[in-house]
Amino acid sequence: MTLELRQAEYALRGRTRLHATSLIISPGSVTAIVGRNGAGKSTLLALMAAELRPTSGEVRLDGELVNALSARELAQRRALLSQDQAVSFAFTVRDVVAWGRHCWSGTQQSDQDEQIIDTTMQEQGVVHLATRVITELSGGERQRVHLARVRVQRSPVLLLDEADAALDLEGRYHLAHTVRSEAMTGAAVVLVSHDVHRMLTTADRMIVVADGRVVMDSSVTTVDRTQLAHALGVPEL
Amino acid sequence: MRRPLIVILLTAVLVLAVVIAFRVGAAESSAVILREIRAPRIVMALMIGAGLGLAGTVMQAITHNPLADPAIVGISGGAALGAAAVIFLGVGFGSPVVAAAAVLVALLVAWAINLISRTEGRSEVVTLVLAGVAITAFAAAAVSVLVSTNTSPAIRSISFWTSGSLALSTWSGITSVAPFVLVGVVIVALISGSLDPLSLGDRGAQAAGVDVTRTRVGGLAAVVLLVAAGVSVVGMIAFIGLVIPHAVRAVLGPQHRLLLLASAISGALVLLLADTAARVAVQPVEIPVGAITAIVGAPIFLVLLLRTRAQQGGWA
Repeated sequence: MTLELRQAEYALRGRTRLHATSLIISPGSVTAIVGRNGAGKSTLLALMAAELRPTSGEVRLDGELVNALSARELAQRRALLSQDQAVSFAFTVRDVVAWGRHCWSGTQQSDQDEQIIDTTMQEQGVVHLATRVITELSGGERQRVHLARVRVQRSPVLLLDEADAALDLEGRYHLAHTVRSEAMTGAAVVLVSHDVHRMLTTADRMIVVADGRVVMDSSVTTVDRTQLAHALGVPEL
Repeated sequence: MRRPLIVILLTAVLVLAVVIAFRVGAAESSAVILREIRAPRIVMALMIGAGLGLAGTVMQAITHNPLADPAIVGISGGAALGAAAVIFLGVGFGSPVVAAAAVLVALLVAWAINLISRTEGRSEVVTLVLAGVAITAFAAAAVSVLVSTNTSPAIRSISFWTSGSLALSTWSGITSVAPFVLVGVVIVALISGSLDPLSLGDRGAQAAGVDVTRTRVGGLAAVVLLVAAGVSVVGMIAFIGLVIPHAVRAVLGPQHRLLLLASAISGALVLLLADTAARVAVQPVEIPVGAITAIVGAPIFLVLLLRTRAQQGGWA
């Protein structure tokens, strides 16, 4: 599924958070969005996820306007994971993972719910946590559970908003592995991250956002490190 | 499975409680008293109690707030004001008009707290509770002005009703309240499938495909319908909506389909037992049932509060 921004712009209370941006995110690719805090990374991702409606321009998924889709239709097409997602009540890990199938309830796809949940929990290494209560887990364990949750959605677009922030080294390695294998099976993956070094080895493409503008958009193999460091506000990488 | 068994057991206890409630009371109970006073009182207790249990569970789910309760956020207070206002205008106690007025004002309150307590799509726990304090204080003061400036016998019965009592239950009161409660139950059934993933918070749930606005608006409407019409007849009965979902969740876990069913049964059971105690504890006088639920409910709530906080490591 191809995600496309056409001159998408977002302003809030007279301040432009993201200036008109045009991008195409292709299936089978991993795109990293990097930049300093407040640069507009999360705004860009929120526009892609249809959490925000562009104040001008448009965002399309395979030609369909994302803001015209219902929450359920969106969830079938794209999954979104933010950093350390809180759960209000003492649900078990398996309950939480199963919520990823909510958007398919009542459709033919729901026949495979149990099987998809089982295999995904295995892949994410959270089977041993299945009956544990989510609120009692460590931050890293919780994030793995939520990663499993958004993966059982089986959506062709996967958006991760600083999903690695609460993870340790092993967790980040694991996340990178997951993201690569998702792209291998045809998903379009977009990650917002501060871990630029890891993104250089995980992603195919790097988009740098500064002051509400895309200032760099390059393949990671040809990225100019000096220019990248400059855009991120550091002397070197 | 063990959990469905607990629900069956609860139902059995409820049936037993109904039988006991019907039997105990003044020794010279005639057939007329049983049919026209005790039976409607029992039915009313079951209906209002089940409604309070359901409403508390829904309220806590849609606000992601274990401290939410229709009385705490001001919905019950608004209902009391709506009912008192039309009774003041001369409409008979227990009529469908009074129930409708209670529902109408409570809907306004629900709409207002929904606006007040939300900034940029998030529900703020503290604002919600404090807005409820303000609304309840305002409504109570307005009711008190209405009562003290009016000498009609109808408005006098309100003083009995402000502390919460089932003593004025009649069959006609039940037929006034029941349609509202029924619609509330139907709405709860319609949104019940979305309540579990709603625990991800509004943003997370929306991303996972839950229509958060529809669930929240439906949930608030259901809470109003389940609680407000009942308030117009029996007054404000606190703590059932707050404590029951916690107690049931501690035993059955947080999954909402089972939780809703068990909360309805438990709410009915607890209110019936409390009302039976209110009738017979210090005969021949009666204690307002609202006082009993508060005396028993408030300490239980404190214990649950501390325990849940310890388990969850505080609430976000």
